[in-house]
Amino acid sequence: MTIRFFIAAFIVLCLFLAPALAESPIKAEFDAACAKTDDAMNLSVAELNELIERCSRLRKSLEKEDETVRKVYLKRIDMCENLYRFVLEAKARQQKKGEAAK
Amino acid sequence: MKKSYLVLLLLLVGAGMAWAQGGMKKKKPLPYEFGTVTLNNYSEHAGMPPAVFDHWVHRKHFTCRLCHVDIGFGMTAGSTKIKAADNMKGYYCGTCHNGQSEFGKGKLFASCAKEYTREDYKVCVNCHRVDRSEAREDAFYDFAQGMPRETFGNGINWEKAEEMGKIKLTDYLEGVSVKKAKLKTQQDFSLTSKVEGMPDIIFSHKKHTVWSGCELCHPDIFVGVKKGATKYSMVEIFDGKYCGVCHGKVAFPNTDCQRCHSAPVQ
Ligand code: HEC
Ligand code: HEC
Ligand code: HEC
Ligand code: HEC
Ligand code: HEC
Ligand code: HEC
Repeated sequence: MTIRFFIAAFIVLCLFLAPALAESPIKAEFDAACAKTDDAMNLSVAELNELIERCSRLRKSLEKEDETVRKVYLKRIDMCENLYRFVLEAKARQQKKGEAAK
Repeated sequence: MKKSYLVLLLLLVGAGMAWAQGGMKKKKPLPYEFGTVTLNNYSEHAGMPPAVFDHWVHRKHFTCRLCHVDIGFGMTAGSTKIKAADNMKGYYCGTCHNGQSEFGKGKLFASCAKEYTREDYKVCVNCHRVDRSEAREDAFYDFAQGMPRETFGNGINWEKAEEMGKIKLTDYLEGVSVKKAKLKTQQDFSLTSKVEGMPDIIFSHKKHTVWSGCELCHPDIFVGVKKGATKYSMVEIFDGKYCGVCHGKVAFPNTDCQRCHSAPVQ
């Protein structure tokens, strides 16, 4: 009973949080660049490189934002881009191992 | 026979390490204090008491990922350098504590303000705590009572609580989180301990990804070494590196040897 109530309350909470930040163009571009982190292992090398490139562009466009936005998004972009780089390297390692086995 | 002696010996050594850690640096936190972070980069300078953040209050509602990836809180105490102005603009604590988000019976109290009345100050002290309050301890024990128990940490088995549906975690906030494709996680794998006689290490990639998201661990915590080679020593883990970034501070502590050292995941 109370659990249901809390779930319902939460959905409402989410709705209320929406208007504050939804419009920002930074957010939209960030979404486009970083929606695939959890699926990074299934991306091709070309896709990964393209997303990394997008991250760099986004980082540059942050320069004109205010201090808070810059701080928050720089951190988020770093985490996202660094993961893509990590996966690229892991893939390279795996491939090398595969070739050595042949 | 010999094997079990070795395991016993290792357990004793481990307990010793744990004791030395707990005993010399700081005393073992009480269940309601486990996972509490005190933030004081700016508060006392500005004439406010330090801000206190309790993980137990929040992790019963939200995934680690939501706060540490989407909102952007750092993984070491004080590292985020949260400012009152950030909160007031609707970031960090102010993402939720903005005086508008509906929660349970009412609106979630707002975070910082430039000007405030004596009446407002009562809201400030929710976070900027002057002293420890019994009400908060009672709230913890009330909550913990209904949860599956465990010996260490908060004394709550958080994983089981989630499995049993006693807590339901939000992983998405509109306007903050990224809309993701459905998770296709890494193949699960278990790390193999290099010491003979020590049971294998359990580590579920799948479960951890749901809680934390890939980018929280890679590459900041785990740079990625070859699977199977020597990796991490228990001393480093106790020292807060690798698994110890989370285990021992917020997730169940390293004194709970068997939870990591047992049969492998398939
Ligand atoms: C409601 C948001 C929120 C949630 C949910 C959350 N955290 Fe945190 N966490 C924080 C904040 C805020 C800090 C302090 C950051 C700072 O001081 O810069 C923190 C700090 C930490 C620290 C550092 C603690 C220390 O003493 O150095 C660890 C480790 C951590 N969190 C792990 C986790 C794990 C694991 C989970 C999921 C079980 C989790 N957090 C869930 C907000 C959250
Ligand atoms: C993702 C949303 C979210 C974020 C971010 C968040 N909180 Fe909360 N916080 C909540 C919710 C929801 C509750 C109410 C929980 C409950 O009553 O079960 C709460 C409750 C609290 C309480 C009251 C706990 C009590 O004992 O009554 C304090 C204090 C608090 N938060 C401090 C903080 C601080 C400090 C930060 C930033 C470092 C923060 N919170 C960030 C959602 C959040
Ligand atoms: C939801 C939790 C929360 C509430 C409520 C809250 N604060 Fe804060 N406040 C913080 C956190 C977190 C920090 C950063 C703490 C640090 O590192 O010193 C902070 C920092 C501050 C600072 C330090 C100066 C600065 O520029 O960062 C001031 C001053 C401040 N808050 C004032 C207030 C006042 C006044 C109120 C009540 C109207 C209030 N806060 C309520 C969480 C909160
Ligand atoms: C809780 C932390 C954690 C999370 C979350 C996590 N991993 Fe891992 N990951 C590890 C550990 C530990 C290893 C084994 C590390 C080692 O070999 O050093 C590992 C290994 C890997 C490897 C092999 C590394 C190599 O060098 O070949 C890859 C690739 C990887 N993870 C990708 C991911 C992806 C993609 C996600 C999200 C779907 C993810 N991980 C989520 C902790 C984590
Ligand atoms: C959070 C999970 C976790 C917990 C809890 C844990 N360990 Fe470990 N332990 C590990 C990991 C990971 C390794 C590294 C395995 C590898 O690199 O192959 C390890 C390695 C070890 C090793 C071999 C490496 C070394 O440092 O000598 C010993 C011995 C060990 N653990 C003992 C213990 C004891 C005793 C306890 C309880 C006091 C304990 N561990 C609790 C995760 C854990
Ligand atoms: C990013 C934070 C984080 C890191 C890093 C991390 N864990 Fe965890 N782990 C968690 C959380 C959160 C839980 C949920 C249970 C809890 O909070 O007590 C958990 C649960 C577990 C469990 C019980 C669930 C299961 O999989 O059966 C094991 C075992 C475990 N971790 C082992 C490890 C080992 C071994 C490592 C290092 C290789 C590690 N963890 C690194 C956050 C982390």
